[in-house]
Amino acid sequence: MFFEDARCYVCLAFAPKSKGHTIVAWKEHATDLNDLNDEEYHHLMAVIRRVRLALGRVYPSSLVYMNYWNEAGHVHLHLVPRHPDSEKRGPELLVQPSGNLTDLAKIPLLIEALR
Amino acid sequence: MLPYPPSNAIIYEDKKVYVCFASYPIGWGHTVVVWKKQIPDLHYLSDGEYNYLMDMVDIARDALLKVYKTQKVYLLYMDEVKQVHWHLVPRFNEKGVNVSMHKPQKAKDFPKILLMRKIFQGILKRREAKKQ
Repeated sequence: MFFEDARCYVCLAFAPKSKGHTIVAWKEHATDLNDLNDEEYHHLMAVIRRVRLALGRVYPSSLVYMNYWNEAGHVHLHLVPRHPDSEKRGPELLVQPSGNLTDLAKIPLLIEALR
Repeated sequence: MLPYPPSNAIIYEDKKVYVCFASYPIGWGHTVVVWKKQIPDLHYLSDGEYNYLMDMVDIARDALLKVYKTQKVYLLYMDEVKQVHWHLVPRFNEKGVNVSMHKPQKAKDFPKILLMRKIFQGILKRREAKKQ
């Protein structure tokens, strides 16, 4: 985990689709974005914006995809960097088999980039 | 740059965004929310612009939930065409990310367009009234 506030936490994915694959999760129980009120929705989107900017700093030259396929019964979004050397792009990147979490060393950089 | 959609696919349009049914949908109700000005990535938008875009995404999502009577609408943002846009894909029986691999098929018509426009406008007006 590299960011947390009263409402959200942000962590690297355990089974990432690419290096830096990040999950932004809403802490309170909410099964769908529609369960959030306007203020909560804006808060979540603001956190996502900050995290996405941080990912862009730590993984320069990479695009950062965002997706919401929420079937876990808990509101969360995936931020998936598409690196310049990636052979896969678009949906192909998202459906490829997940890898292992190998970039924990980037956590201090992500924390710094979020400041 | 994204090709401008046919007028019968446009759900909503203003100076900043347009919302339309996809010309090549990957599923029923596939909708796109597009930032008109050609900006290659979300991070170039100001905070106000970003909030405006995400409000439009939320309204379009609400409208799709009502019109298609689904429990979920998936959101997908990829910036490979260098114009900021979100894909919204109602989820029916098939769940999960594999939906994104459906082969896009050219849309022949947009049978729900009038209902989508009406519901979208209704949600937008209610939200604007709430802000005042």
